Amino acid sequence: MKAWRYHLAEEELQKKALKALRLLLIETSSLPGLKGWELKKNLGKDYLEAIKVASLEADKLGMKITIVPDDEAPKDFEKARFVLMTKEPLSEADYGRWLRIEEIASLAMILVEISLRGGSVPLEVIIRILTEKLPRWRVNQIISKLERLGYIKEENGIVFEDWRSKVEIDETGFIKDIILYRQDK
Amino acid sequence: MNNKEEEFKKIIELPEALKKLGGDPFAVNVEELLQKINANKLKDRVKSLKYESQALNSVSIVVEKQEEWVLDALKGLKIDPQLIKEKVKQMPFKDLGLILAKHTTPTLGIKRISRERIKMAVEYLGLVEPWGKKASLGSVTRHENEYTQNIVFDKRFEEEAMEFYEKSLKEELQKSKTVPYKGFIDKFDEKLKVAFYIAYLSTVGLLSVIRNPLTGETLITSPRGGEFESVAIPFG
Repeated sequence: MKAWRYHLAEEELQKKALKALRLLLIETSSLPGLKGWELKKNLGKDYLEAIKVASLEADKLGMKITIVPDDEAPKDFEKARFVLMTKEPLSEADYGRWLRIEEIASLAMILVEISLRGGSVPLEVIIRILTEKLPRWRVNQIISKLERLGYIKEENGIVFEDWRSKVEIDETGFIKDIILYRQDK
Repeated sequence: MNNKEEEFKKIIELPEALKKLGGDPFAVNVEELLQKINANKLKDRVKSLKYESQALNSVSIVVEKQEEWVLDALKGLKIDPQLIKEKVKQMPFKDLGLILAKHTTPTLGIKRISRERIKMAVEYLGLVEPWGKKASLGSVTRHENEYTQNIVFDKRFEEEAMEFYEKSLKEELQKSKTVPYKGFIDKFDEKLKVAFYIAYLSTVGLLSVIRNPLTGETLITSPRGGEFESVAIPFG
């Protein structure tokens, strides 16, 4: 009887895990993934258990589930964002489908600037740097897009990395490759 | 001392030279050095072994220095940040993009269209003409601003555009599948006028203007529809 109940619970958890994957994959807002409370609402109290099983299923498909803590309540899982990510970095053929080339390059320039300035940079500096390469109207478009997608955030004229840059980009590896870059390669 | 011995000597003295000159250890091609060491065999086997081991030791010191250099740069950014900023400024967009993409694992998500939006789209599609079948735009008779003053004269704009297509563009598109937009426009003195012609010709479905997402280059192609529909191009 006990074993049968255990089996049923396991089966239930597996179903919930697959449901969690579906929920995480389909975007319901402008941002990917779901907040912990949304998962709890859909999966029940044991949503964290279901996420653990879902992570194993995602791994088989070359994906992983990442938990992005909320800035104001870093220990609260219900306020954290749960996102589904690829395990491998983007290939050259894929990145055209991610952002446009000038948007990726702008993001790269912004991240280098933020990194070299210890985590934040005045917006006017970002605009000055980008307008050396792109027209002002395009720079404004790119900054808004990167902000909307969660790559950067601006508070009182200061630009910071947002959750998406922190989660998606290996900053150390990126800066290292920038330092080692040689044009004649 | 023969040439081979001199080569060995140079390799052996490399770490000292790097230390004295304070150069970038990445200026040394380690792979090349190892090939040289393997190729330079002396007749005297004992001497050869001695030089080889000393040279290999020097190479390992250079590799160690390379690692230290990167760690220093990463930990404390001891290299001049201005130098990195200048480097980034001079880097081609494609290289910058490739480096960032190499270190990016993107979040995944499938966009879903709500039923309400689908209903709106169906209603809208019922109203628009099929692609490439746009009705005649009609002639422009008023000189609205300085641009149109230079473009529209006494002849109908559509006729001029069609004539331009037949004479200057049709054959070129038949020869090569794509024509670089900028290069093509630059061939003409009246660039703005030609840009207007191309814009008009794309609305009537005689050609498409697309952008290559990897290079950012804008291209004129034979007419395409669907996801390959023409893009808007800023002029100037």
